[in-house]
Amino acid sequence: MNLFKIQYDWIRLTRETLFQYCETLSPTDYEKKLDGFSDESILSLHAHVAGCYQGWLGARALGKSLPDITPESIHNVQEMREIFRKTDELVYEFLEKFEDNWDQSVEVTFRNGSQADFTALWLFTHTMTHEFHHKGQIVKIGRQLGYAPPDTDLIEPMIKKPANH
Amino acid sequence: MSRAEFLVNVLDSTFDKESWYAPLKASMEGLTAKQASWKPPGEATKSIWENVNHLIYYKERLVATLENREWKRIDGNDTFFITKVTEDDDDWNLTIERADNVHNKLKDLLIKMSSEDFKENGLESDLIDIFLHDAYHTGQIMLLRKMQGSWPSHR
Repeated sequence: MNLFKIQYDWIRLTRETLFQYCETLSPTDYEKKLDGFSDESILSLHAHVAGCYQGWLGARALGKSLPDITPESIHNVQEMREIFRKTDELVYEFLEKFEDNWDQSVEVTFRNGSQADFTALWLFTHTMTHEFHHKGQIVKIGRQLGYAPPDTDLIEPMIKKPANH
Repeated sequence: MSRAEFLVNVLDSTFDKESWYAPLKASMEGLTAKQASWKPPGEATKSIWENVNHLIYYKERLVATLENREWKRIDGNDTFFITKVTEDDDDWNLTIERADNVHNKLKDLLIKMSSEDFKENGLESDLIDIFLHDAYHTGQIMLLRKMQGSWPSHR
């Protein structure tokens, strides 16, 4: 069993729920910047999340040369879905490459030339947690814009084995 | 570093050891009860305090599972109200203390376990859920603080 592949499949399910929610927003609201929140929009946070997967897993861990994901280059939910479709390909490639080798160190070179070692397990945990950190903010912004969001915080899979639950 | 040590480290990074984002404990620091119970105008949303309640509940549930204690499950929405939201700073500080206590309790249980223990009972998966869930709601708390103007400008 590849636990991380299962975990990523859950993440994709909650991401799909979020996309469907975003499709109920007007196109203007999807890219509307929220006052007091560093001028971030749902679109810019979505792009930032995809950029994190691409940067850490695609560029740094898999060594691919990929163009930056900028919010200005994405105009609607459909285009964002396409960005994440490519992100999924990178993530599954990463999961396959490091399956059973989660402790393997990956030497990362940053843009400023500095280097550091990260385990594959850290890299994947970081990108997942990062998505959830910003997903919480995305639905909060959506609510502020007047759209009641669905649950996307992925806690229900915890309701399983123990009989006293 | 073993898998178990790694998971405990990540758990800490969601609560009191800052890594790439200000974790839950830092996100609660410096708030008064009034600020913690503040809600932005408009569509009904959960306050910071209510979000903290929700996170406490799921950690307490995991601790109860690990200790084989009976646990009375409550409806998801009710988890946001497990402590009463007031304008009394003492009440708010007690809630912070409860979050602190359950984190320390969970950590104490985990550091006694081996990497095999983590794999065998599905604990690894449960912990990852806790990491993701805490990151999600901590992100919301930070957003609420920024909207409220209570997030330190130097952070």
